[in-house]
Amino acid sequence: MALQSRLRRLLRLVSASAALLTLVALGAAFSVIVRSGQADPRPELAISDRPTLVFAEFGLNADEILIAPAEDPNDRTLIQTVPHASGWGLNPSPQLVNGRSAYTVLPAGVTPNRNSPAELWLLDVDTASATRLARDADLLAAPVLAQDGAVLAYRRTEGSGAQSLVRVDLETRTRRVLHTDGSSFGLFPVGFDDDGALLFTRLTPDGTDLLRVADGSAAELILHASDEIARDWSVAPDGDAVAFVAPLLQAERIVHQTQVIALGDQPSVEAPAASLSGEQYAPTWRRDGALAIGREATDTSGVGPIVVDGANLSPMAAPSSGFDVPLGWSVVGGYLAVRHFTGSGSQSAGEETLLVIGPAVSRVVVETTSELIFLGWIGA
Amino acid sequence: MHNSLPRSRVIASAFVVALGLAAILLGARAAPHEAHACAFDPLRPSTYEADRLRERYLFVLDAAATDQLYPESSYFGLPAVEVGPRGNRVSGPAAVPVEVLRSIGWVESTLTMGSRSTKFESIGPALVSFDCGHGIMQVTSGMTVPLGASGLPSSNQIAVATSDTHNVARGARILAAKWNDAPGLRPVAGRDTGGAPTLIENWYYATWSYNGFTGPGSKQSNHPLDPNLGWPRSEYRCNGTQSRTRYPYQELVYGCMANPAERDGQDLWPAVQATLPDFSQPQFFNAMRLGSFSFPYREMDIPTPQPAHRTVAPTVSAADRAALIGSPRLGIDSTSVAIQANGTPDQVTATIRVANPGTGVLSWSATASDGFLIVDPPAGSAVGSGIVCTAAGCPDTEITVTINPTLLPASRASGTITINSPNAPGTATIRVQVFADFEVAAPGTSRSP
Repeated sequence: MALQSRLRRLLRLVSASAALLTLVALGAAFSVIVRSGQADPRPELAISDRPTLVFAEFGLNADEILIAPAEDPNDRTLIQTVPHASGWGLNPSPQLVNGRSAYTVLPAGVTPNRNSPAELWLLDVDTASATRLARDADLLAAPVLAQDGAVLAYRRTEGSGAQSLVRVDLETRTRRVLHTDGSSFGLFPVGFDDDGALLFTRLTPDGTDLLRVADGSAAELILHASDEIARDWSVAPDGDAVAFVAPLLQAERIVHQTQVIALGDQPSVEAPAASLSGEQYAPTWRRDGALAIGREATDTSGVGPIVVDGANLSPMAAPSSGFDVPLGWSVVGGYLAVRHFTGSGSQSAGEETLLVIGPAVSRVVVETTSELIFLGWIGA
Repeated sequence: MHNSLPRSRVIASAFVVALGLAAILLGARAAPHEAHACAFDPLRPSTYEADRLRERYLFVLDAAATDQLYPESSYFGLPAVEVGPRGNRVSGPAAVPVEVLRSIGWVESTLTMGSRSTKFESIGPALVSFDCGHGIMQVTSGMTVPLGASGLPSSNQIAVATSDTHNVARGARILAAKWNDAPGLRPVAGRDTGGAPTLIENWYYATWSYNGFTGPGSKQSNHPLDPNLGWPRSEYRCNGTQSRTRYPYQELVYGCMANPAERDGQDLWPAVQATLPDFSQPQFFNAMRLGSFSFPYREMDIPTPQPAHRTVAPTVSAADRAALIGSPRLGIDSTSVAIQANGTPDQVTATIRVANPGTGVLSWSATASDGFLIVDPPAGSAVGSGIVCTAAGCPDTEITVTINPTLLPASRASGTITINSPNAPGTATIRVQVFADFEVAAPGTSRSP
């Protein structure tokens, strides 16, 4: 009996030890969460109301998210460090919305491969805090935020190989699958329309389709956008139009040209820069509805973006050589961030830098020794 | 003096404690592997990591590219690489472009056999990714489950995981197989140059396929016109300053061909500015159209991107080959060991040293006769003369033997550990005696029936 009693005590001791270990593990996990910013919103940064660039500097094992004033983008402030699998940097949403950005990233420790499950994070620039929202995202598919910053959508691949577009309510953190497709090449979230429905594209052997899906409804086709792979999609600030580039044959070569779809009951397609020959890149909306469009360089000189505002086409400050690919306008449109390439076009792009084109025909390079990843703008 | 019933209960209770601790420890160690089961899971083999300048590995790549490592092996030797246009392919020489092979090796592993924790010129944990990629070439095919007898790793798996020459040879064979998938399963690059495998640019699809011939929009897409990959793209500089997120795999490899990695200000290999397809030209663009990406991908055939570059086949003499492969021999320092389960820290484990009194790198595996014996690492390397191994522990490997008390059949048991090698003759058997007498002598303990 004494032995049985001792055994019971021993088992109780083991149970207690296991419980203690569990508590220790939970504590460690909590501390990791706190370190990662999930449960510890930091004090608000002293961010000015002036236009401020938000970008990440790639590091082999961690990216640094930085902010810098538009007038002096090399005067940087570090707001967040994002560890990741070696070699694989974060993949952000196209623009910041109300100081928020979302990004996918391969966490450190997973197989550094594009098909490993990525994490989805929400970055709040004002508080310099980041919150993990999901651990099943597709790394290569950038998430998109709604115009009010209240919801986002991201893509994940199911075990069956089908892809799902998932809506995340950022207030409640609830997730809901909006649409799943196992028969197309792939789905690509584009943004949200003025009714709050998710816009996305679908690649099939027939080309690129633009679709919309509202929460709780089935997806509906808006139109067949191209017989080819259309890319560089962006949604107008008021959500009533989308722009993209699609390939066409021009003078015995393939070039991509900008097209705009006016959303509504009768969607229509326009080519606002059809008078400009050659390759075009990344149409980017300004708050007033104008578009900045990148163009390839000529044989003799550099070419800056063109701004299409209704029927007016206005060139922006041009580089002495190379060409620019627009990334995003500052909130009120005074500055445009671009990827500047030193080469002549897509097949010989040359070196790439992040650059800010200002209102006074200024072009300021953001200095770096590694890749810079544009996240967006804050401040007026 | 000792009554059997109380003792068995005491042992049982000790087993419960040990089981709990083992579950916690093994659970923690195995956690990262939950999603996959690799050939050696949950343990990790060890391997030899060569010099920091990768001189040995570059030499191995030279030999593998020209099928001079294991030409007689159907698993590690290169197949004849097919040549000719679609519809008229014939067997050509067994060779792959070393420029492509070494660049793939760099992209996959930065040319390392060991994990990050393994120092150069030492023996340490092997590089095994969570999707079961092993070693320099991150060989995944055939490494996801144990393929040997009794659910144990096969000798081929042991060689891939622990031997640099076998690992690279296997990677080269896989690359050659990707080439030979055309035209039946994959498109042909070089339709205007007779599909010549001596032109580096003609390996575009084989390189793509090494990481998965994946289509646009897929999670692991390597399609060059995938909207998720940035456009345009600067050349990948292969120096750790650019995220891989925006590049299809084949452009990573081409980037490393053109921009050799540096160590001590020295390029590790000669730069080759191989030409990528120009997608502004219809003959390349049309091949990448969505409608073209359909099995068996006939519409994806492309001409050779120009200017094309001819591979420079490395010269590896018979003496060089012999030095790489060596003549390993298996050497063991003991024929029996003992473990005292409740002993001092020195007594609860046993150590067996595996040596290589020969030359080159010995691969070995250790197999226990009984489930209660745990050998860690389960496989590894030991280096012989002629191989530089400067770190502590070199040139031999230590196998640590512990017991899983939950499987121990009695308080006294014995078993054997058998050590084999896929690249050296002979077998060694070590007898292991286990003592698990848990004395209970605390005051008040009843020993009566």
